[in-house]
Amino acid sequence: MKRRTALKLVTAGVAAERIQVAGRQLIALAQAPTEYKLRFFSDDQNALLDRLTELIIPADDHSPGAHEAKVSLFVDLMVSHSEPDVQDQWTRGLRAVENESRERFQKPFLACDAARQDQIMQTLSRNEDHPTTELEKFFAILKSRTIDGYYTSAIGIHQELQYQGNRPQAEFLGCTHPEHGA
Amino acid sequence: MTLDLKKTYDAIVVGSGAAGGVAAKELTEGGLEVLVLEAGPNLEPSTFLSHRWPYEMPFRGFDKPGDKDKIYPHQWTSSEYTRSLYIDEREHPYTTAPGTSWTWVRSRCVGGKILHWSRNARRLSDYDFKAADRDGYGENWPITYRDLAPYYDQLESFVGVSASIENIPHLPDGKYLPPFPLNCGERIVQKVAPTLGLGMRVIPKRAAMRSRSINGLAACHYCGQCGRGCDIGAFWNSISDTLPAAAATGRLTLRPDAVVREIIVDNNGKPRGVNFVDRLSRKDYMAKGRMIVLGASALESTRIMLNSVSRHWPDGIANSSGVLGHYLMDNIGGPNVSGLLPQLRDREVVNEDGKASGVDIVPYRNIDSRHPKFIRSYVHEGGSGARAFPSFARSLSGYGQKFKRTVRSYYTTPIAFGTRGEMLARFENFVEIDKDVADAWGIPVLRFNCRMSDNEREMAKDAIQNLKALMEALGAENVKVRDRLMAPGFTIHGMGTARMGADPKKSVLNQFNQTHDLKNLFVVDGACFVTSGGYGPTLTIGALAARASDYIVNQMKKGEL
Repeated sequence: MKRRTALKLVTAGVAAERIQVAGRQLIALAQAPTEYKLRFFSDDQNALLDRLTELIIPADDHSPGAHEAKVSLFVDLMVSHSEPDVQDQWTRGLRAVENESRERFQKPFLACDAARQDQIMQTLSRNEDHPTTELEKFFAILKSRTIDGYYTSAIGIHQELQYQGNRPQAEFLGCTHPEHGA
Repeated sequence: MTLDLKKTYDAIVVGSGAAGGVAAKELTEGGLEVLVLEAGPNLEPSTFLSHRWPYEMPFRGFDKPGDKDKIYPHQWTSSEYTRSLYIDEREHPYTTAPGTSWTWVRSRCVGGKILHWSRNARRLSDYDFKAADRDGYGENWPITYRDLAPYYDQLESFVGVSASIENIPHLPDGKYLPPFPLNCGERIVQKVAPTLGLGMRVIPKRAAMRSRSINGLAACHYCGQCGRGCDIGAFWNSISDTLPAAAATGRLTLRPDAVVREIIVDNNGKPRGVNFVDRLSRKDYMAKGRMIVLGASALESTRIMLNSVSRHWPDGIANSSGVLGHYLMDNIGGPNVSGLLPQLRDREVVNEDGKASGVDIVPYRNIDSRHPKFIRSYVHEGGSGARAFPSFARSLSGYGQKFKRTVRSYYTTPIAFGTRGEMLARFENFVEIDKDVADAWGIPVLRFNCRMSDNEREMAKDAIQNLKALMEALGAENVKVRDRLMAPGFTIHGMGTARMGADPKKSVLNQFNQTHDLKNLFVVDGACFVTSGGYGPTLTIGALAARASDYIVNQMKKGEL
């Protein structure tokens, strides 16, 4: 009898079963991202958020950006489970971006051309280390959640970063550069 | 085998982690009929979320917002991937005395914390066992390195430790498998650190994970997700190695979901079994044993002893010394630095985090000379290379094409070092039973009274200063320095509270982990530690458990027990 089997025979597996069920639910959820229904933001808010995340991590010739990685839906999920004060920050932040756009360019942010959208992004990001205004503070949470969402997406991990771990591999080479050694 | 409540087992082992697993193996192989009681469930490794991608998780591995604060506030090493491996604090409360703190990370499942430990497997030496002789502080251990060395050999040869032979007197070499190769950044550190003039020496992490298969146990497959539990059992994790070996003897009974309440004594005050409550049904049972071997983790074993009150043992079983619960220790944790090595930019991305084990900067303080501000020593643990998530991106400014390109360019450059150091044994750091608070099974909980002292604070200051100097010498960019000394308990190295010693008035256990007061009661986990050493205790816990088990088997054969 294999040792593993022997151990299984002498013990009960109640929790293991529970985890398997949970695991199946997780996979189902991951495989059906298109079915995601907004939980917190309105369609309009989501459209604005989607654009803002894409401006932070855009598509380039190397890989798609936050839009294709559906980062705004991840943000919606996280915000929907957050405390009311956090939810408020997001609602107010999006409104502030919209107001800024209407004040400066007399039209909604999404109706602005790329150059004008970038001007607003520059205003948002100008005091990154010490944000004080509503817009600057919003940029901090927006950027942080965009990083979270993008670099944990399949696009971010596999296409953009080309991460090579988290899968069984036959060997581990380590450094192969003589100039790095003593 | 299922538990037979009518039977009197040769030994009841409480706990199934590093200590309990080794005791179960050694005792059953020595011919004893052993019952292992484990408070938590038995988990099937194939259900570990070892290779799950973040985008396959409901909250991308970040957790449902708020859950951490509500359910797992102190389980800081746990994540959305590993919830089943950690306790739910709403069921497992504990308390702290005003002005004191303890970060209590716990796993209740077959295997316990060793299912997701850091796998640092360094031996202690007489630098530790005879520390009091050298600097006059505290007590020596009642053993020498020579007493323990054969059991380190035995354990390493069975579970597999991948490491290099270094001939360092205060960090003795063992029986090793080949070490894991170093990454680019780690080799650069190996070259640069010695030039600082601090005595820094960089060696591959001594890792209790297998660079090749031995004893029919799996070799590492370099997925890098050890912290989520290993689905193939390629590191020492009890459920793949020691417990199956014990089961193979045909003399092991493992009863999961058995939350031990107290040790039951006979009319002479001598243990004859334990009382436990079934985790799920909440029903009480009594299991009978000739010998009780506690290996439930330092703090849980001591909690059981303090809760085992009878007319014979009004202050907790085997506590004639009054020392039970005292000399609580952790290692120091907190001082750490991270940065980016610009010389490693724009490299091809290869698997760099797959070995999940970096390098050690060998203890260099108070070895050959004496530091004016503190006694004892510390180790730096670190590593380099591309990790799945580029957390450094949060600290890069800007947005857009340039930001994205910068993250990509620096993806292969991160380097980070932390510190583990010795926390001194002090009588005034202790646990007691909080009679006002019980866990979900009605068992009174521990109340912690623990503080760091100036010695730990000075050590942390020194460590961070040296790590800053190292980052400077490396030419690292974007350096982040975190100089906070974390609350005790943070390194998950709970030690002491039933320490061993030659003097029964000043210690609970003798040199074989046997209580001075009761011949048939042993404590084989970290509770026995006299000093905390400068780093993780697990390998030493295993070696001591093997030594104690060997003693039990021999004494039983002689009819002494």
